[in-house]
Amino acid sequence: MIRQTQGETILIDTKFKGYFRTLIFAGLVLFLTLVDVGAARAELKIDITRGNIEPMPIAITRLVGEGGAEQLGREIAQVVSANLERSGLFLPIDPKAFIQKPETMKQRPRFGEWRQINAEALVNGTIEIEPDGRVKVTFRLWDVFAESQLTGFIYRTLEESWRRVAHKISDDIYKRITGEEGYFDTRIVYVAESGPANLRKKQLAIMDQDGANHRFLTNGVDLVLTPRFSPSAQEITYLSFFHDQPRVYILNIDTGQQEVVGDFPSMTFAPRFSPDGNTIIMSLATDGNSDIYTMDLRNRQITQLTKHSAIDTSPSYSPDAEKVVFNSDRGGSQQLYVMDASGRNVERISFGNGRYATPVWSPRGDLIAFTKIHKSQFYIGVMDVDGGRERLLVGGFFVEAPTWSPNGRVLSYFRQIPGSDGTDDKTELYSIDLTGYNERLLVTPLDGSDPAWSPLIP
Amino acid sequence: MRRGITFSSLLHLAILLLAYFGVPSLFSSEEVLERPIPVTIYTVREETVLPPPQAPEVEAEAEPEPEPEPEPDKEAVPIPPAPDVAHEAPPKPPEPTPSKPEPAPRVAEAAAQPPPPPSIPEPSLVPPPPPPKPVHLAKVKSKPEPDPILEVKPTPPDPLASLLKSVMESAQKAIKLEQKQANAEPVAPPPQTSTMSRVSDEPLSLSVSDAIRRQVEDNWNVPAGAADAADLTVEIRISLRSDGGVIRAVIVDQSRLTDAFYRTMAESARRAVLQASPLRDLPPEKYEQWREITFTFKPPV
Repeated sequence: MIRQTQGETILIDTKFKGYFRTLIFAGLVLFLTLVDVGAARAELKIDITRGNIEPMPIAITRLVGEGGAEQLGREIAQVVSANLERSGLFLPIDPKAFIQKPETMKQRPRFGEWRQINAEALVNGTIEIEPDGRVKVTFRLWDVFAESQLTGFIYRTLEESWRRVAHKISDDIYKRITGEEGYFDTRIVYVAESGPANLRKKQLAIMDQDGANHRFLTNGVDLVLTPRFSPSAQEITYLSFFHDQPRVYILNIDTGQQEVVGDFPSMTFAPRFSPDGNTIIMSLATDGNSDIYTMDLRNRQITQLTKHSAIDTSPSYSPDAEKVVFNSDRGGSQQLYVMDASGRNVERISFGNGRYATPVWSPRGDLIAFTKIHKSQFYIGVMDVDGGRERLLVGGFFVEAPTWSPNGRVLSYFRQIPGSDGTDDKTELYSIDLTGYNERLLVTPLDGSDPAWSPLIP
Repeated sequence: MRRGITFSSLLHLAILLLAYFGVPSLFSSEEVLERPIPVTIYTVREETVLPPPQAPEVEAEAEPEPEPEPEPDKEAVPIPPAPDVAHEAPPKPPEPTPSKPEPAPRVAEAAAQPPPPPSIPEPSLVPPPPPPKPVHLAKVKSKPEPDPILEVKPTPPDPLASLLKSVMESAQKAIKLEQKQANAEPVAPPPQTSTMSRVSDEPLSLSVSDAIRRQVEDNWNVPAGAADAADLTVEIRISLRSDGGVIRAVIVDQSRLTDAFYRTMAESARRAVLQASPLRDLPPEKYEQWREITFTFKPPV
């Protein structure tokens, strides 16, 4: 029995061996094929985890045009070049180094010649004056190494607006290369100061972001402070002392019309527009105590947001208008707090050493800029909206009043430089990149303080 | 009967075993390649030597080399839109307006033909030509946002100048240009197949991939301050000539190019590779091992 069975088993075995061999062979073939495919598709993999952070070399050629347009084409290129250079992210190449002449680039650039001068990006274009007197500007941005066009636009405008075209082109380039919105087609309003310290004349002034088109908005008879743009960039709200009574005003830039915001018996100050432009948020002081209020500009309705014996001031909305950051000394020293736009859920967010003031919510929503005072030094810094990751960008004897560029990348503020005898202090406007690099002076005809950066001009 | 069952179950078992052991070993071979050292596994096979399926293009391109006056046709040189080469999100089939007659002419057109001037309807690029609204404002002529695909065609005189064109074309153009150069180069490397003769099975040494890494890192200008930079890992796949010149550099994940930050990162990565071209210090006998490289760019935090 057993033997029989064994015999049978053996039989099966031998028979099976045949199958099995075939199977193994087939499997082996299959296996080898797969491995083979794997090997064939194998390629070297390399991780790149380091790089440089340097301004990108860019060649900006003059726009090619004839007659009067030629000079304009040159100037537009210069403005674009200056804008990009000031951003700190670009390194415009000296036109003297250009090998290919702009005239010969009507079609495709000869990229090899631009690589030779190390240009990574290239801008060219044309300009012509049309029969109706308007200026037509065409520009293109090229990736020199990929030899492809990155972007291109045509602008038509009145001749006197040529600077805006230059700024818009700058924004286009900035946006295409960095991935972020530009901020060149913007203006800055600030307080222009002149005269001796005890009789300082302060008037509102406005200029393009690069200092061009400067003009005064008020005559300096009444003291002005803390100007802020509306979201449309057409209005400014600010504090003015009229008959020695500090009040919040709104000024229309184009018409020059001014009006008081609300008719309060007491002083109002530190105004700012809400993100939709329909509301002004500000401080209102009664009997030495100040709280935060809003006024709806459509129906003049006033709402009190904070009610505390401490001084609450400098409110600033988050871009989604859900929250408000402000400063208060309710905890003993001046610190930053965030609350709902309704005034509820007040939470302290600053816990570092020193005092914190003038918080401003970034237009990007991710950061809050502030002035910090610690051991009699002033700093401009930023922190996350929950108060984390505080970073100080600049410091000095006196720096104050940060304001955001509309893309949330750059801050402007002012710096006071003490004079030798204490009477001839100078105040100057500066800008700095969020990285803490690239601090730049904004040249103004008079001393300047309290800058406010406009949104992108619509 | 019993036999059948035994056989069948054994067979199943065998298949299972095969599946179990066979497949993972496949993956592991892939995985190992992550590190340069164990590269031993990829013994060179003939398949590797096959030229990438895009050689034909080169010829088409090599032709129009003489670029005299007729610039426009240079522009027209266009190139079939090979999806993988495009650096701008190709999946977008946008530009409905400008899809014009452009696409039709493919490689054939490459040669030389009168520039199609009429085919460039300005309006497509330029929405509202006489914008009545601006008081003194500059007027953006084109739609602001889809500009990635917006390619103003450089034509000679006027307006019609602008027309949309898939950026893929330019991408390919770039590549072809490279290839053209390759072909034209006096130092023309031996035909690809012939490299077989001196193929080495030795693994690439660590120093070689280190050298490559360094050359690319030296040329990478990291876009500063992009939001959430840490998420923006970009893969670039390149093909190299035997002299180290980059034939093509492709952004692997095209689908994310619609994200401006990703695109910025990806383009900077591709630029780094192109700028590093030709890569130096590569052992020619191991060409098969470095002819295709995939770089993973991870922004330093």
